[in-house]
Amino acid sequence: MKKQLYPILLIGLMASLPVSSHHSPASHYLIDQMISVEGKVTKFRLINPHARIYFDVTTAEGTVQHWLAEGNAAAILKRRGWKNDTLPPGDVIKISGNPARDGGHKMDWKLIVKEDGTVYRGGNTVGSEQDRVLDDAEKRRQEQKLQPQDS
Amino acid sequence: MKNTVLKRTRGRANLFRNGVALLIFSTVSACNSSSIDEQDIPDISGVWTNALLSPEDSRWRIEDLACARTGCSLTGFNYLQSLLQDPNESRSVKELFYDMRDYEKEFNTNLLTPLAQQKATEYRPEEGAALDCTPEGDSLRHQITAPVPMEIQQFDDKVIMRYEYWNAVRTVYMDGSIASDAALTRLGVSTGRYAGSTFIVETTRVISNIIGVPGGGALAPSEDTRFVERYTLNPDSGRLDLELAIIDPMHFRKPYENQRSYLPAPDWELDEFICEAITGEY
Repeated sequence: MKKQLYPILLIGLMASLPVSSHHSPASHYLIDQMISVEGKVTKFRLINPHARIYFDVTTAEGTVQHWLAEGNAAAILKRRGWKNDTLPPGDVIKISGNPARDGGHKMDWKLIVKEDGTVYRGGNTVGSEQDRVLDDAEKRRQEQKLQPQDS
Repeated sequence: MKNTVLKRTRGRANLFRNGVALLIFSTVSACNSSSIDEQDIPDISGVWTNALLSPEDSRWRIEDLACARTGCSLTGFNYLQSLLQDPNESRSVKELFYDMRDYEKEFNTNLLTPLAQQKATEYRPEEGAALDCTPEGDSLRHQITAPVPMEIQQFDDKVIMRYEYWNAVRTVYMDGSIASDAALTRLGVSTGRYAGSTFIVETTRVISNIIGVPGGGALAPSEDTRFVERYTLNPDSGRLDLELAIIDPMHFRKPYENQRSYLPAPDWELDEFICEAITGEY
């Protein structure tokens, strides 16, 4: 199956966020930029310090590129329902995230969409993922407003 | 686990206290006893979750959810909370959050000493990268505030704080003694005490690992930095609110305070933190 490599796009607005540790996403990735590619999963590792998806992307010219995407820690993802087989080899995914500082075929993933439309998040919660957290909080806030108040 | 540990340790405490009380009862008023009254000790033993791991829990406040992953300074958290509680405030959570970040940035810029501002400006994220499985370079602040389950076990003479993150274990000594010549370590040396519903931990002798500062950049605190954690139990919600103050006059004009909240997770156990270094293959 020939897959299209999507061009780098989307310069995102970023809040200034704490750089919190030796494996901060900002150490390896350009957290104010986003890329989106489509490829086929070859391996999924639900491990710490960051889960990894290995996948192959076939360019318009037919060249196969081997990619790596990093997400949140397994310690977090497992509590959110992720399993070792959440992304089995062979799954075709469209994946978005922050590109690598060194220009390699790596990203800090933010959003994954399977062929069947299933959407996964599970990325490090900065940038666009932080905005989704805030959107969820807004949804909760609106729900709370609709709930009857205790007298 | 929570009640078992506490009851067991408190049971021993009662035996000891009863014996001591018999010996000194005739000479010392019970009101003047220096032993800790069981009623005054907040029961914080057990496994604790955070708003990133269990956001569906209705006990989380909106500000807990908003600050779940990246964390907020105490100043920023309180500012966001005040905005959310303002009945005339019509902006979305997202708008309020980024308003808070701007406020936090300005506040914390004033917080930094000129030396700290210089260091924070000069910091290059790519130079701090070390994607291996050695926790030594990770800061105590990140260890404390990382959004991963933690467990607290209370005993008479110590409190054990276990973290799924890096499988780390901290021992907080309740007898108040800190060896001033103790070697510097990543987790430092900690003493603790109770004050009403608050458990207070003070830690020194911490290796100077890089921490981020709101507003951008990062720096390594001085070796004389004191970390003061205040865990306050909210009896109504069961929520445990942490205020972490980083006291380092060399870099901060006043304590740099961070905020994090927890809820009990009685059905959880800590998992092993299995780490796998990136080998470079992909």
